[in-house]
Amino acid sequence: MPNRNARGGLLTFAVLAFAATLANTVGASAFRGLKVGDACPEFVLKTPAGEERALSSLRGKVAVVVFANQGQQKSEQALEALSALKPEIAAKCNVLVVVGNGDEGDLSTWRARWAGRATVVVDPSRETFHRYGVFVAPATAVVRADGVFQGEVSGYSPAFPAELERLVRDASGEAGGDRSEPWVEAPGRGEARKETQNARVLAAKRRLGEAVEAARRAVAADGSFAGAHSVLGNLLLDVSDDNRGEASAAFQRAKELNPKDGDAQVGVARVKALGGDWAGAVALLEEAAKLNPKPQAVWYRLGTVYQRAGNDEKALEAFRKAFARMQAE
Amino acid sequence: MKTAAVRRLARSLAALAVVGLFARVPAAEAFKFLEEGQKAPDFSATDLAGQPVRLLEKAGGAKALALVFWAGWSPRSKPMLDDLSALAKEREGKGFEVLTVNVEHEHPTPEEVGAIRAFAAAWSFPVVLDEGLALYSRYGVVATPSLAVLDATGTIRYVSSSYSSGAREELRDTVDGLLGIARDKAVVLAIKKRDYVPPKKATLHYQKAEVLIQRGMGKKAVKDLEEAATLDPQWPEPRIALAAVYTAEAHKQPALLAKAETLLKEARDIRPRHVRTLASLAEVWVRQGRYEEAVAVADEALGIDRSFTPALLAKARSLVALKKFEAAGAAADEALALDPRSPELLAVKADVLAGAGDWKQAAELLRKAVEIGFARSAGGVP
Repeated sequence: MPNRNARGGLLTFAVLAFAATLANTVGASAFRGLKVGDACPEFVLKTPAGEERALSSLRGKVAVVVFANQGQQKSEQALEALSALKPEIAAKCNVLVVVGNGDEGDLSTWRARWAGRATVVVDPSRETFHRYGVFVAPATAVVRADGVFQGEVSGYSPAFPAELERLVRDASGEAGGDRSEPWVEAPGRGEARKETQNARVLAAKRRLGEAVEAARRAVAADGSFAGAHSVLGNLLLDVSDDNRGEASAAFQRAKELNPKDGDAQVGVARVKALGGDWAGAVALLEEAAKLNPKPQAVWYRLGTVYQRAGNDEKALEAFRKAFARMQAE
Repeated sequence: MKTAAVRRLARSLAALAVVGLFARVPAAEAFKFLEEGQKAPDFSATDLAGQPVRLLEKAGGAKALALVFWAGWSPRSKPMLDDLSALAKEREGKGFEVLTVNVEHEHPTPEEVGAIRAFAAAWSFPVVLDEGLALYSRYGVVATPSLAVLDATGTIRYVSSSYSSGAREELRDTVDGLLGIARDKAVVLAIKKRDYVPPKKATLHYQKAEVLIQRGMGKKAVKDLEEAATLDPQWPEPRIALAAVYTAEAHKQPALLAKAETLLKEARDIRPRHVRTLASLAEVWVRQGRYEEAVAVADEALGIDRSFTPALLAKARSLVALKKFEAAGAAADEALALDPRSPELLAVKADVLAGAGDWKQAAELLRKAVEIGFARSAGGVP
């Protein structure tokens, strides 16, 4: 068993990794001017042909808004992936590409590559980039039919198409419900999202007690929001191992609401590790690392589990993976 | 107790040292991205007393401003700040200001903030908390404490790190030189000589590139850096920055390392004993697997400035690769004493420990490196 100091150390910093996991998987890190649940600010930009296009003109259908730079490798990869969306997903959304560097290169030729698949508009002074808080392209926002920010995919990775598909499905109301019914957001969902985000920010700032309270408010605002339960569970474990009972119940509830909730899976692994089921914890975390487009936080968790199990060599290997990924980004 | 003669001798020696800093030996580098002659990046913040403070505004209202990055855990911070406090009192009313930036932790807790307040209670100058270590990253601080002395235009006239022996007199003479009260004219001349100003157009291209790099668009900065280098062939900075962009991109395109090497060799031809050039060259050679050469050039850099942690890091990494774990550990320890929260330094120390078979300590250190990395990214940069 680890000694008390080692456990204290783990707990002290586990919250930071947790915050990073959340920021990587759920948070609006690529859009610093937006939070999930916010109404997307209106903008009117011109196409290279000089026609005006407003964001609001896309209302009524899910909008995928890609902030991109022509000639940038990752922007090109993201746009290629968008062009290759499954037909049933492509049918659910309109794609708008906001180009931040319209004055560089041959925009007409570049635009022609996406003709029929996306509308390209130019952000001449990058004013819209700045309003949305986009510093690094590509940044892809999924906007619901009512103009509310559903979520984002930051940058480009091989997981981009799957993540985008999930967001488009969520935005069109498919997730967790009868697809034939119009999607109506649960009452209190906006408040729950806000408090969940608040909990993440407080956790990142090491104000753990306040973070737990914010997560509890999120659960109280909307008990059907899986993300709130998994955030609460993980924060409870960060506070103390003794909270494992309540945390376990929170993860179970999150899984019931959304079986694909990655944070709940990490949480379940943590509970297993606390119970001495190292093999079970490792298996869950390794699976989670494969599914997560930014797996460094999961590898970090895996490292801490190996440490607790007394396997320092494997712990070092997991931390090395986390560190290398962090450096590459 | 020093006699007046000894003090005069010390002052003369210090003056000579300052002259020598420019003529032969560059001053101790404190920042990865900035040096004397460049304008300090402006920032606004609120100090611990709740007062708003803006760097260039404060510098503009003074003849000399000392900007200090410090932490309570750094043993050399307190002596530096105590000396600055005494100097500020002695030079009161003469146009000397001090602004300090605390880099204790990415996100200090209320308890830590209380401790910082208590620590700084003896000083009359403002203390700004560097939330998320954004300023620390923006300036590229290489050791704690690090200091820049700015003139009224916000131009950096002197930098120093780790407050090694001799720094006290150097600092005092530099400040007095800017205040116009230096007893020795050589000091004033030395400061003027250091104030190299590249052509305006080259500076504009360089500054635009800096903004792009800060926003994570290094590749887009290439054109401006090339332009700046062409406009002023005697200015090594654009070449060093361009080499840094290529080095950062090399994990995707290894051929860029050769380009970075060429640029750094050109920069070395322009200014042979330039610590940042030599340390950057060492890093390129580490990545190319040329470890022996990397150690040699890192040692050359350290011969000029022992406290430049990027050179120590390159040396330690090379020695790990050469399986010289004892020497690698010594270099890593030396650097960690100056910058104990550097994830890269902690990681190389972990490699040293793993090389010696101490998996437990290695895992512990690397975990700490990852945690610090999370704290810096999760907190975000304003």
